[in-house]
Amino acid sequence: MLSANNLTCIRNQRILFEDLSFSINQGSLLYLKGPNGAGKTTLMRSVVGLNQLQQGKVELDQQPIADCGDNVLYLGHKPAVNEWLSAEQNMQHWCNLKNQQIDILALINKVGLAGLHDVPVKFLSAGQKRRVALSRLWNSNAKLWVLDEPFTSIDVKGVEVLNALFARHKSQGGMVMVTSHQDLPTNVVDEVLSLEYRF
Amino acid sequence: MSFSSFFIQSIKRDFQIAAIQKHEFILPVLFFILVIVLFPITVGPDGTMLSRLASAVGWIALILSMLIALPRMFAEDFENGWLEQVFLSGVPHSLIVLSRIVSFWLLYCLPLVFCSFLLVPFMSMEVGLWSVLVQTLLLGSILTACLGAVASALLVASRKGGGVMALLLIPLLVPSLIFAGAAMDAAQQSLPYTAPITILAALAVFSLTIAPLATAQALKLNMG
Amino acid sequence: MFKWLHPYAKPEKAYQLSLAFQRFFMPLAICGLIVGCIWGLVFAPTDYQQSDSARIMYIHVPAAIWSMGVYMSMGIAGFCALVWQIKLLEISVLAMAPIGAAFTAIALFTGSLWGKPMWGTWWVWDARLTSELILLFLYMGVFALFQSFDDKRTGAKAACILAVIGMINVPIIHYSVEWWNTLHQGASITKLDKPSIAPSMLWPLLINIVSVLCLFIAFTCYRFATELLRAESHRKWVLEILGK
Repeated sequence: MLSANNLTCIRNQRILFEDLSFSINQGSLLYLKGPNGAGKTTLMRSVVGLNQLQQGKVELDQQPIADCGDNVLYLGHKPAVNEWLSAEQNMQHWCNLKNQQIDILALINKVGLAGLHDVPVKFLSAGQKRRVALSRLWNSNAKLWVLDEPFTSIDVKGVEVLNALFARHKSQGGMVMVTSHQDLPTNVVDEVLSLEYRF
Repeated sequence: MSFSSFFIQSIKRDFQIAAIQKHEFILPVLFFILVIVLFPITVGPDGTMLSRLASAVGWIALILSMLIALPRMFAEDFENGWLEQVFLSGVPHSLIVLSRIVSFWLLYCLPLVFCSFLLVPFMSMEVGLWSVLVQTLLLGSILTACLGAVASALLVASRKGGGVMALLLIPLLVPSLIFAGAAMDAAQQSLPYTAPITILAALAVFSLTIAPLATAQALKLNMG
Repeated sequence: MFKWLHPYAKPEKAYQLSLAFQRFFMPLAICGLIVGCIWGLVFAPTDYQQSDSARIMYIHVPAAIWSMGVYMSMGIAGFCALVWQIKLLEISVLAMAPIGAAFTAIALFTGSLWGKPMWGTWWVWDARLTSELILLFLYMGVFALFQSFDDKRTGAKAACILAVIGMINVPIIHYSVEWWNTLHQGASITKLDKPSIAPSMLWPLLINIVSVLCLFIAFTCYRFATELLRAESHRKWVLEILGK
C-alpha cells in the first residue's frame, strides 16, 4: 500500500499543495485530475522522491519511498530514451538498469515497432518514441506505477492496450497512479484525486 | 544489479553514444589543436621563445577545450530523463556520477593528452619535457574533470552555461596550474620534479573523492 | 544543546533578531571606524620606510582579512544549510556574498594603490594580491550561479554547494599562490611585507579590524532581513510587517 501523508510543496513562492494526504490500496488505480499548473507533475515527482518536499512523507508498504528503488516505476514527460541509440539498445540499457532478462526483439514486436529495432530513435515518430518508453510497462515487476500523461501521442489502439495493461497490473496486486487529459474508462479507475489551481 | 556491473554498463552506454555522435566527440580535440596553432601565429615562429611557452600553451589549450566539452557532460542524459531514472533505481548517486566522470575522462580528456604531442613539432618542445608535461596533464585533467563535473551539474538546467562555467571552474584550477608549472620549471632546469607532481596527484585523488558527492547533490537539486 | 537556538529557526523570530543585531552593531561599527581611521590616518606615527603611504594599511588590512573571513563563514553557513536543510542559512549565504565581494574589491583596490609608491607599478603578481583576485572571482561565481537559476530556492542551494567547494579550496589556493610567489620572486618582497609592528600603530589597526567585522555583521543582518521578507512574501507575518 502506498500512503502519502501531509505533503506540502511550495514552488516559486506559490503553494502547489498543502497538507495533502492520500493512499493507494493494493490492486487499485488512482486517477489524478486537475487543470494545467495545478501541480500534478510536481506531486508525482514528489511521490517517487525526485522532488524535495517542504513537508510530509511517502511510504510504500511502511518503507520510505527512497528505499524502494526497484518497486517503483516512474514514467514522466521525459522519455528517458536516448535519441541516438536504437530502440533495441535503449531497451537493453533499461533492462540492465532494472536487472531484467527478457527477449527484447519479442517485446519490440509486441509494442508495434517490428522492423524498426535498429533505427536510431531520432528518426521515429513521436508516437513511436512514446512506445519505446512505454514498453517498460510490459515486463515491469515494480509494485507501484507512477505515470505522467502516458497517453500523449498514443493512438486509439495503443490506449486500449495500455488500459488492458493497467487492468492486468491491478489484478496482480499492483498500484497505479496516472494523470491524463483524456478520460480513462470508468472500469479501470478506482479512486480520483483532484488538484485545484491555487493562487 | 551489482554496483560493479552497473559501473561497467553505464560506461559502455556512454561509449556507444559517443561512437554514434562522432562530431560531438571530435570537436574539443580540434579546438585543442586550433588553440595550439594560435600561439606560433601570434608570437611568431621563433623556436626558443615557443619552446619556453610550450608547456603553458598545453595547459591553456587543455582548459579551454575542456570548457567546450564540459557543458555536455550531463546535459543530454538530464534532458531526456535518463538521469532521473538512474537516480531512482537505487544505485548510490555518487557511483552514478563517478561512472560518468570516468567515461568523460576517457572520451574527452585522454585524447587531448595524446594530442599534446603536437607541441613537440609545433612549438619545438623537447620530447623529454613533453613526457613531464603529459604526467601533469594526466593528473590535471582528472582534476579538471572532477571539478568540471560539479560545475556542469550545477549549471545543467540553465541555458546560460558557457560563461558562468568558466567563472566557476578557472579559479578552482589555480592550484593545479601552479603545481604543474612548478614541475615543468624544475624539469626544464633538470632538477627533480617529483614533489609538485605528487602534490598534483594528491589534489586529483582528493577531488575524486569529494567531487562525486557534490555533483550528485547538484544534480538532485536540478531535478527537484 | 541547541534547544535555546531552536525558536530562532522560525523566520519571524530570525527577522526580529537580525534587525536587533543590526541596530546594535551598526553604531558600534561606525564609531569604531571613525575612531580607528582618525587615529590611524592622523595621529599614528609614520612608517620610517614607506612614509605616509603605509597609512593605507588601516583600510587595506581589515578589508583583506575579512574578505577571507567572510568566505569562510559563507562556506560554513552553506555546509550547515545543505546538511540540515535550513532555509534561513541559504538566505544568509546570499546575504554575505556581495558584502564579501565588496571587501575583496576594496582590498584589491587599496592594495594596488599601496603598490604604486612601494613597487613603482599598480599591479605586481604578489601572493596576497593574486589570491585576493582569485577570491574575487570565487565570489562572482557564487553570485553568477545564483543569478542563472529561475527558481530562487534552487539557486540559493546551488550557491551553497559552490560556497562549500570554494571553502575547501580557499586555503589550498592561498597557500599554493604563496608558494608559487616565493618560487618565482625570491624573498625580497616578503621580507618587507612582514615587519614587526609598533604598538602605537597596532592599536588603531586592531580597532579597525574589529569595527569592519561589526560592519560586516550589521550589513549581513540588514541584507538577511530584507531577503527574508522577499523569500517569505506570501506569509502572513510578512504582510503584517509590510502593512504597518
